[in-house]
Amino acid sequence: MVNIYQKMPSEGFFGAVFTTVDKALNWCRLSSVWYLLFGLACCGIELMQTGGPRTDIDRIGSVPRPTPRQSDLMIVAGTLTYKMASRLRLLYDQMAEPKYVIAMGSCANCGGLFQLSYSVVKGVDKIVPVDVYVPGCPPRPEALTEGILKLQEKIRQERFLVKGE
Amino acid sequence: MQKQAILERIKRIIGEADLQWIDDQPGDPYLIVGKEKLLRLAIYLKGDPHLSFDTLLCLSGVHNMGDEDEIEVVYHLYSLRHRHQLTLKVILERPAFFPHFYLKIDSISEIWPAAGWMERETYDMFGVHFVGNKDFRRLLLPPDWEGHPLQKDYRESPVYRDITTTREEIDGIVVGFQE
Repeated sequence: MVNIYQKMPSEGFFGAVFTTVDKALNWCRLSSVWYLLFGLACCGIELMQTGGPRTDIDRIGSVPRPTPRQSDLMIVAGTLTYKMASRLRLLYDQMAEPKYVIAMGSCANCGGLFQLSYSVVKGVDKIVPVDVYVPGCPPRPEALTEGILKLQEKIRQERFLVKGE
Repeated sequence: MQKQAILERIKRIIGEADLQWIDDQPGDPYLIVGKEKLLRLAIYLKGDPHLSFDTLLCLSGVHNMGDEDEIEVVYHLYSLRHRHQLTLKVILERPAFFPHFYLKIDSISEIWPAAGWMERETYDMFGVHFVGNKDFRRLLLPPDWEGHPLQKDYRESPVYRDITTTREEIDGIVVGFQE
């Protein structure tokens, strides 16, 4: 973005920002990544802590939503079982496009500690497409914040206004 | 009541046949009961004023796969009135052919209603059918699950509802269950 501030002597201060529509839209979207609460295990505690006052991700525009219809991002925090997998897919399908998924913690990434278990899904990327994987068991709030910042970088690179094929 | 007094009282009422008292093993001594006798014994254990086992603490299963393939159903009983405790075991043999035909036992959920869900969990994990349970289906696993995971010869199926149950090999590291 290019900022040009011009001083108009007769009308006081006048500010103008010159940019492209894509960049302006992406800037709006990445500054308001509302996430769906999907705490499944101990990672859910760290997810709550990330929204808390110490690692306040409200300052980068992320606020928790209790419903998938108002969410842009699903943070899958914890161990996903096969019984829960169909519910995860249902909630993902209810989210409006564009939608993103963060797999938080070892269990959500690959099954983690429970890889040899009969009831645990070995990675949520078998159910929904995942944008950012956050490692850790569980990841600290700083790590999840880093994951959201990575997702913001991804959103910043996206282009929506293209000529038709 | 002491353990021996409890045992004497049980023997006096329903006889010594099909009863086996084990007290030389580590842990609490327990009483092995034949599965035909279980329901009669259970009614008596709850109803007798000197025993009065009014609480079923736990109902669980054990799969032994040593020389003999058998599944134990374990009942932990407690009397809040007399503050004594009893461990019952019923041993079910599990032959190689048609094991589900042999893994059948009378439900005690009419006597202790707390047994209802614990019997469902034991069925879920060990495949023991409790005849007489009013709401008999799986408790923890999804209804279309195949097999009973805590049986020692259980093998995870490679695919469940179009989800593969192993992780793809990454850099020579295999994730998931391997034979």
